[in-house]
Amino acid sequence: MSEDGFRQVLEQARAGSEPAFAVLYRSLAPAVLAFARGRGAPDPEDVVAETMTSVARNLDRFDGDEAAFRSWVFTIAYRRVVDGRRRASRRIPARHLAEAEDWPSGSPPADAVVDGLASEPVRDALLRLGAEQRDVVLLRVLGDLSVREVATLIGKREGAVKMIQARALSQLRRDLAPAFAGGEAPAMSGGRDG
Amino acid sequence: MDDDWGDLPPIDAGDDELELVGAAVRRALVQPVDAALAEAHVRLMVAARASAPPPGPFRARPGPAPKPPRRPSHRAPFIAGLAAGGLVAAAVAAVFSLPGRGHHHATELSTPPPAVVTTGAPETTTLTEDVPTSTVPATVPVTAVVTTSAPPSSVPASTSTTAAAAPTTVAPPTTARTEPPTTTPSTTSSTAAGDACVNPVLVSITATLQPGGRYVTVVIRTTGTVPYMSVNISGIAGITASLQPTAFGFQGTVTAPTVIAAGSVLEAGACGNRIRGTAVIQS
Repeated sequence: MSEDGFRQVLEQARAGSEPAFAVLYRSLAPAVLAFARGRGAPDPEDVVAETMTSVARNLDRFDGDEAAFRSWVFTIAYRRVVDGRRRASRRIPARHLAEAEDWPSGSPPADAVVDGLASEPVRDALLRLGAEQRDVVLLRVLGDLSVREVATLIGKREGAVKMIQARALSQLRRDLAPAFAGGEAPAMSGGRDG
Repeated sequence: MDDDWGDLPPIDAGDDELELVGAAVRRALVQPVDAALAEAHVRLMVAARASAPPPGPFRARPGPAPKPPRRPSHRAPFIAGLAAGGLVAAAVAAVFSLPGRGHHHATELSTPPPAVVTTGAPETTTLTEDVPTSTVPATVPVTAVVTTSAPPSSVPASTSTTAAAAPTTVAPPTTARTEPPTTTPSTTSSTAAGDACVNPVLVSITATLQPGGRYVTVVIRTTGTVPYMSVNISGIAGITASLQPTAFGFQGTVTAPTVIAAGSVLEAGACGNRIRGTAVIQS
């Protein structure tokens, strides 16, 4: 989205335009959902809902470009995940929808299966990381937050965040190498973006 | 602790690695959001935006309602202590139809009308209210997710589009108490006890069926302190409710394992059944 286009959408959203909110949602919600899943949130969809409604409610407080907006949204999402963990112990677990019900009905079943299989090693590897390492990786990768932004968000110094990231990446690379030794190798060695 | 990192690879070496691992992470985790859920969320965003306070330095902030000026003519005589005085003052206030001590829902207590929500969605409302004896502001509740399993037996199948039958819950004519609820419906489960409620009032319920028929967006307006909200859909078991606390109450989605028929009755309640209400789900 161009800078002007983003500002226009933002202004329309501030005015309450549903199509504008839909644009913002489509551009960010999948990544927020991925962040919540990767972070192990018990109800990732709840995190998305809470984050996006908070974004809508506080749009007047935001000022910046699209990248800053993404960082702002992920800052909110991070805090929602942290809050959700605190609430989790006081909460009756809701029945989760079956995995197949979570994904778009229009997705070809075969693709969904392949994607699901391919994602397992990555999810497992992420879960083996420490909480801080996982936060840093997910915020950097999914939220595109800078080291400085991540440092501010999690309350660390920039140098510490860089080192946490280095250790996390090193461990991920080690853990994922066997899992992707088959058909998924290009994702690790060639930087394929998906 | 942050400075003791030992022997690690150079920091700059992580940039390329971040790209490589990031690609795998994105591919594994980033998936499109369910279309119906996305639509429900967008509607929530619109509703949240509509309920957001206006920008600017004069933004109204939620807080305690202003105290009304003292009116010496309505002061209770000192007859038998403060309790008796309070009762007399309340009686005098009722007789003279005094304004509700600054509480913005005070006028709804005597004649609870169907509330109006600004989301533009159709709604029906039934109110059961606790007696507001003070002006406790609406505070942000803590937890608002409840799963229900069976339909309530007390909710009539309503054909009206304005209001369902009022629940029979009667609020005690005293201040908000901390006693545990005794009439909690068996169809609800919650993590909060009724004793966390302070002057709870259920103002309105809006329930709108989303395309596909398995999601219902719900907007519930409350005042007082309502830490959680239970919801149920008559005739449907196994629903999943995801309600987020808002400045005005709760809002969120209710998901059913089967298609929800428009016209079904959604029931909401909290605080050990001290507040309950129903709404006909609109398409």
